Parts: sequence; structure tokens; C-alpha cells
Amino acid sequence: MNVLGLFRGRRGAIALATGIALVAGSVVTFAAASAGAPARDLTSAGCPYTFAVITHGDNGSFWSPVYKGAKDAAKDLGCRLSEVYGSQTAGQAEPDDIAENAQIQDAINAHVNGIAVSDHDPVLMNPTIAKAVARGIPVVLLNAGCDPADLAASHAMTCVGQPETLAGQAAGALFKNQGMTNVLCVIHQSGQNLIDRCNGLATGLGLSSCSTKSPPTSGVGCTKLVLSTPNAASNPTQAIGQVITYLQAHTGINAVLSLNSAIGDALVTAAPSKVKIATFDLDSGTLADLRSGKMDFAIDQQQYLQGYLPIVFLYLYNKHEGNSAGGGSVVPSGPLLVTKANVNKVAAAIAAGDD
Amino acid sequence: MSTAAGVSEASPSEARDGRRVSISRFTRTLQRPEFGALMGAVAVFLIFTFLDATPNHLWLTQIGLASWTQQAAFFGIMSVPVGLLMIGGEFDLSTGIMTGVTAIVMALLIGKLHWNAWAAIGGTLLFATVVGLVNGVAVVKTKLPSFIVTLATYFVLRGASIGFVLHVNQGSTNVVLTGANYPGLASAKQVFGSTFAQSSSLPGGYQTAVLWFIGVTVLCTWILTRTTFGNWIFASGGDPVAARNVGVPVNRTKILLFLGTSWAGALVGIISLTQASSAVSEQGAGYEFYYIIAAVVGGCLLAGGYGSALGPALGACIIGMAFEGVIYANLDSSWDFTFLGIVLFIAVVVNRVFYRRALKARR
Amino acid sequence: MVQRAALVETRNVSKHFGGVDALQDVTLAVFPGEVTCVLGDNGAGKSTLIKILSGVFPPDSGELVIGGAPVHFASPRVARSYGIATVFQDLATVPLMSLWRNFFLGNEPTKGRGPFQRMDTRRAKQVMRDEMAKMGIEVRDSDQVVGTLSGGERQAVAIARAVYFGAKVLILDEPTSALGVRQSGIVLKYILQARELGRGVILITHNPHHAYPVGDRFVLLQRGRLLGSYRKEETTVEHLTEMMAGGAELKELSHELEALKDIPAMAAAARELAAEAPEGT
Repeated sequence: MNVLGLFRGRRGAIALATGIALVAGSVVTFAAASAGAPARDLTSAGCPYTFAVITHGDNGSFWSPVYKGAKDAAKDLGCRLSEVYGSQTAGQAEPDDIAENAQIQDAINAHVNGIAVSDHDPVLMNPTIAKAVARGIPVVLLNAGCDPADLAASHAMTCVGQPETLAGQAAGALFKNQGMTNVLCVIHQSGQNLIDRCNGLATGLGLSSCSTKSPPTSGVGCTKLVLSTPNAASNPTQAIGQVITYLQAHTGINAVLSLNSAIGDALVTAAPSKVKIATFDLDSGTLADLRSGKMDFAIDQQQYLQGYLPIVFLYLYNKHEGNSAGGGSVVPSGPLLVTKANVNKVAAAIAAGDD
Repeated sequence: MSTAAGVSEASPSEARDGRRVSISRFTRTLQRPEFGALMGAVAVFLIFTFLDATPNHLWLTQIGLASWTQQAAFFGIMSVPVGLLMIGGEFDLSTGIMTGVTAIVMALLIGKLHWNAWAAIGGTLLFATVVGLVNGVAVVKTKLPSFIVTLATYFVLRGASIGFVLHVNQGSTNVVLTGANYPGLASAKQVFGSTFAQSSSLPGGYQTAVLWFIGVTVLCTWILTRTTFGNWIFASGGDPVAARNVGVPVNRTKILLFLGTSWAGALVGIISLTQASSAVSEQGAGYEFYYIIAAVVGGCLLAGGYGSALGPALGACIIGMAFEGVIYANLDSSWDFTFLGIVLFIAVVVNRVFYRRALKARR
Repeated sequence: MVQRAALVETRNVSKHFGGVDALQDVTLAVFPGEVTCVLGDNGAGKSTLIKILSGVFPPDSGELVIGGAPVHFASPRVARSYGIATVFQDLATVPLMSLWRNFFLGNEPTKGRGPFQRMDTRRAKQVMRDEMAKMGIEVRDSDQVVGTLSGGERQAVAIARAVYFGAKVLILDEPTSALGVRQSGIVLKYILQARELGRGVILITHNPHHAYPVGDRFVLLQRGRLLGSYRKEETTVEHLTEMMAGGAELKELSHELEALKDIPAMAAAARELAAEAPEGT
């Protein structure tokens, strides 16, 4: 049947005009109704969405894979990223939570289709995140804020990260397995996430907490040492002077957990050989040390996934109305414990920036 | 008929009197600018001896000595030239970041361009020469406060240490020299980044950086007190107009002083790289104020024209002792900031007292 | 009568800045072993004259003459090389540096060669003590900083330094202006000392009471112009004071006040002024 034939003649013309008017009117009405909600084009293929990636990151070797992960995901899916922001990229010594929070608000005002954000200061940022969710903008947390209580309070879809306590626990368990139970946890910078790692370490060793008092001379112990030399993370060689001194003063310690790969690299060259060194995060120096056996193990947070997965989750939520990954709890990106045994596999991924 | 104590008009009676009082050696020592810093260093050392909580009293052993001298060397190699520049009337805020940028430059020359380590050292010194000249010439030509000019240099270098490194280093801010075959690196490490005087009581030895620290202090003391150039440094900082009036090349003196701080930064960078075989973006940033603190604690006047080279070296020792002493004392390591604050305050007061005594007419 | 050559002369020297005539047609001379005083109130052009003599800038017209031959100073360094040393009031010595360091600043004696070249400290201290003794000052402690000296003594250091380093002509810019009575006396004594040593001295001052005791010649400047040029025997302190204070103007003012003598107080003031204004102006 010739459809167009139905519209012949004067009655057909009126019908056609009415139909067009109806369709146009619906579209206009629909668009007006959606003015408050973010615009969604349900009809095109690919990814017609725009997402904002807002973190507390810097330009260091840890965060670069995160940014790359997000950008790769956007490219693979065809989405657009309005920004990839790090509150420490201008060279600040510490993350700027107030600036990051303002950035979240800007993204809300710009009506993006989704926000991937590191909830570095839940008390400050959760209200802003909740505002985004209330406006219909889905939020996925990454890297920080993955604690169940924080996650629930933020009303975010999920959190892709390495729960700090979980990672610390894995380290503690591995140390315990090796019989290295008198562990020093080296804190190089302020941040609750670092404290959580040390607490997790204590749990893995079978203790209730990691203390700042002197370590026991033998047996099981978890001790925290906060470094005070200026900008310890950027000046590892000088910073570890304090660690070496501590080890000389407390000879019962048989293992050190570093929370940063640069500090870990420096420790490997300077620490006494009987002390085992493990570190969070990896760089090329860590890989070499793992291969040679000088480094006991490294905890790979696989932060690339922390950039990649949130984009995927936000995309799926937008595309298939409300596919909400994570079930309201954390999607762990790690830990992946890297030892001499599996280092080569991981090395390839790191070299490509994909880890 | 004397006009002021110390300078008298020789009237006949006095000439016969032979009243030529020589100032005792002791008093003269008391009036030297570095005396306050020496007292401070001794006091700090004694305090940490007392607070030492380690079972074997490690503070007084070679282990303790090695630990704080290592920290002191890193602060001190820079503090001494920074002190000289301060005596000459200027500040350099790019000193901290220079120690890191030079390490990065050397790492990139060796790792990316495959230069021999010794050629890379030459290249690093050349880089430092350029930065020093930029700082010095900008300050004397624009007549802007050196605080501002070198702050600009600091920002440029800091940004470059991130952006440039990310660009050439596959998106990583850690420039690491992995692998064993870098020509010249082993010998360079021997000269700059090794340890010495290993013994059974100190298996790790002392860092060679300590020898460089002593060398820099001796050299700068000699320059400041024995050479013509040293005289010009005092004059350029004390009264540049009077100095120019008698023909002192004030501008040239200041430019040379800025070259001095940049070269010292390169030395620290070279030592750091040969020790660690790696360099990190933004390494060194934030240290510039510690160098200035060491110089002030060491008796150098912020306004210029007065001070010594030994003073800043002692100030650096105090800082080094503070960072390590708190560990031996089993105190929370953040106490070293409180400690440094108190030391700085006392040092400034003591130096003020001795400075006034030096200016008072003496009997 | 043998005419000694003047050490340095200015002949009809003029200098303009923008629309202002800082100096117009100024001629003066200073001879060995003599003090020429340049007197004038503020704005008379004294500092412009010093700057021309010490080589800061050249005159717009007229010439500088040394030992009878015209010269051109391209820079202060050239002027110094001709033996003209200028001692500025505040800016001659560095207070935080010791006496011997100040004395030899810019002319440090050295021993040794190459990288081992260092200052000859012992010789420097000895020479400084000797030269200060020639000025009549006994230095007890060579390491004493200049800041401990009184203003007059600091001037003495600067003068002794200039004399030692071969200055033939010393230009002293207001050396007594910031000093008390006794200190001023001491500086004047040092000036006489330099004169005894055969140097020529140009003493710039606005105080005729300081100038007259030490001067051999007197040159008066007013608003850039030469008001008069006298030898010592041709003038007195009162004469100089009157010239500087502008005696003519005082007399005119008293006449104007006379015209208002209907008012008794004014009349009394007028009479007082008339009595003050010297005769013959």
C-alpha cells in the first residue's frame, strides 16, 4: 500500500499537516519538559553523552593511567569528556578539595550526562554529589570515597576503587604468610586513605590497629611512621633518611610497607638487606626491583580501571535507562599483588600506560 | 681626647700612654656572625643526646652521626651559596626546584639521549649556567626585587619539570635509569653518589655528599673572607651605592652570586641522581625556604651586607639534626617543625644581640 | 710672579635640564695645597657642578681644564683616573664592613696568583693604620666596623682613602651638613690635613661659618649663576653670609614694610629690618 497515496488530495494535505504539527508539537513539548533534566538523544547510535571526570589527582605517575583510562573508554565508546580534572595538577603540594568541589558544581550547572569523581573529602563533597543525583545526573565515584558508609551517603551509583583497607589487608596477609610480621608502615603525606592502608595492614597481620608507639622487639607488630622532611613524596632520597634511622633504632622490624612507588624505590637501595620492602603502586623502577627480587611485592591498584570503568558504567546507565552497576557497593579495581612471579605480564600493561 | 672608643686622635699624652687596647681573642670570637649558630648547633646536639631513646644510644655513635650529616649535607650544599647571595643583598627562590630540575636534566640526557654520564654532568652545569645568568641578568637589568624575579623562574622550572617530563617520558613523572649499562654512570656515582668510611660499626658508611658539603663550605669561606670578590660581596649587600662610587662592579658581583646558587643546585641534582638513579618531577620544590632559614640561623642578615659562609653550614647542620633527632627521640616526627621554629626564633634573637655588640664602640 | 697651574678648572661651564638653567657661565679653579669653597643655598646648582667635575655628565658649554689642558670625562671612572675623587656625604663607606675593608674597597691589595690570589690582609691593615695616623687618627682595632664610628670619623676614612689612592683633587659634598658642631670641627681639621699634604680641595657647603676658616678661595653660586668669586683676603664671614642670604632682597623687603608704617607693630618690624640690612646694598 502506497502510504504517501493516503495523503493525496485536500484531505490528505490537511492530515499530513496535522500529523507534522502533532509530531513537532510533541517534540517541542518533550524538549520543554526535559529542560530541567539533561538532554538525551535516544535515537542515535554510539555515545552521544558528555561526561565530566573530576579528581583530586596530580600529574604524577599514579594518576596518569587513571586519566588515560577515562580517555580510552570515551574513545572506545565514542563519548565526549567535557573535562579530565585533577585538583593537584597545578603543582600544589596537597589536593585542593574546595576547588574540586567547585568543579563538581560547575559540571552540574553544565548539565553533563554523568560525573566520574573521586570523593576525596566525603563530608564536603557528598552534598554536592547528592545534588547532582537529585538532578538526574548519575555519579560514579572513583579511587576515593569507596568506604561503604561514604558511598551510601553520597547516593552515587557505585565506587570503582581499591578499598584501602582491603589492599592493606592483602599486604598484611602476604607478609604474615612469609613470616615477616613486624611491619613498619611509612606514611609520606597527609590523607585518610593512607591511614586506612596502614589499618588494613594491621588487620591482615591479625592486629586491631597500627600504632605510632615503638614496635615490639619481636613478634607481631604494626607501626606507623609519618615522614616530616619537606615534600617527602617528591624528594624520596632525603625522606627515607628518616626511615633508615628508624630501622637502625628499632632493629626488630623485618618488613617495611611503603605507600608510594618512589619511596619504595628509594627504600630498596638504602634499607638493610634483611628487611623486606613492599610498596603500593608501581613504576618502572619497581618493576626492575621486583624482577631482581629486591622488592618483595607491589600492590597494583590497577588505577587504569578506575578511569575506564566509571565511563562504561555511566554510558550504560544513560543508554539503557538505569542500568546501575555495582549494586550500591564498591567495584574493586584491585588489589593485584605483583610479585616476581607475575611481574612480566603486568609490565607490558604498565608500559602501555594501561595499568 | 678620644672621639670614640677604638679610634682616638693621638694626643701627646695618649701616645706616651700607649693605650692601645687590643680586643681579646675571646671577645672577637664572640662577635663573629657564625658564633650564634655554633652555640645553637652545640645546644641542639646536646638536646638530642639527652632525648635519645634508642637502646644503644645511637645518636652518639657513628650511625647517628652519619644519619644527620647526610641530611645536613643536602641542605648545606645549597645553604652556603644562598647565604653568600644573601650577604650580597639578594634572594634566590628558584634554588629548591633547581636541585630537582638538574637531576631530571641529567637523567634525561643519560636515559633518553644516551650521553655518557660525565658529558651529562657537563650538560647539566651548562643548563645551570643558563638559569643562573637569566636570574642574575634579569635582577640587575630590571631592578625588580630578586624575590619576584626568582619566584618567576621557580614557577617556570616547576611547570617544566612536570609538563616537559610527562611529554618525553611516556606520561610518567618518574625518570628512572633502570638497567646497568649507562657509560660513565658508575664512575660518576663513585665521585658524587657513593659512600665512604665503611666500617664494622658503620657498614653503610657516610655519604660522599658530606665531603662535598665540607668542600663547598671551605671554598665559600675562602672566597668570602680572603678574596677581593668577597670584599665586593659585602659591599654590594651593605651599600651598593657607596660600593659603585668607589668602583666596585656591583652588577657583575650579583650575577656571579646567582651563578653560584645555580651551580650549587646542579651539584645537589648530580649527587641526587647518582645516588638514586632516578629523578622525580617537582623534586626539591619547597626546600628554598629551608636554605634561607639555615642562612638566617647562621647569622646572615636578611637585609644583606653581613654574615659568613660557616654560619649557613651550621644552620644546615641544625636542620639535619632536627629531622633525624626526633626519630632517635622516638617523638612524633612532626615535632621537628615546632623544634625548627623555636630554633629559628632563638637564633635570630641571639644573632641580633651579637650584631648590636659588633656595631657598638668597643673598649 | 710665577703662576701655578690650577689642578682643575671650570671655564664658563653651563648646563641646562629641560627648560631650567642649572648652571650658567660658571668659572672656578682649585690649586694644589688650597681649598676652594663653593657656597650657595639650596637650588644654587652645587650638585650639578659636582656631577660635572666628577664625570657623571658633561657640561653643555664651556670646558673642564686639568693642568692647563681641556679634558672630557666620559664617565666617573675617567674622572677618577685623572685624580679627581669625590666624597659624598652619606655614601662613602659601607657601615657593616670593617675599617680596612672599607679603606681598600675597590682597590684591594692582593698576593699570590691564579686561583690562590687573595687579599693581602696584613698589609691592608697596616697601610690603613698608617694613613689614618697621617690624618691624626690612631686606629686601635682594624677589624672594627665603620658603623661604630661617628659621622666625622667616617668622613675621615673616606678622605684618607681618597688621599692615599692618589687623588689630586678632593671634592667634598656637604661634609658637615649632617654633623654636630664638634664633629664638623673634626672634619674641617681633616680637610686642612689634606691641604697640608698638597692636595687641592673643593669644599661644597651652604655654611659660610664652616667654609671661611679652611678656605683659600670662595665661589658663590645663586640659581646657577656665579654671584662672586673671592680670595680669602678679599672677604669676611659676614660678607659671605650677606651675599648668600641675598642682602639686596632683604633691603627691598624692609622698604616695603616701611610703606606700611602706619601700623605701629609693622613699623617696629620695619625699623628692625632696616637695622639688619647691611649698609651699601
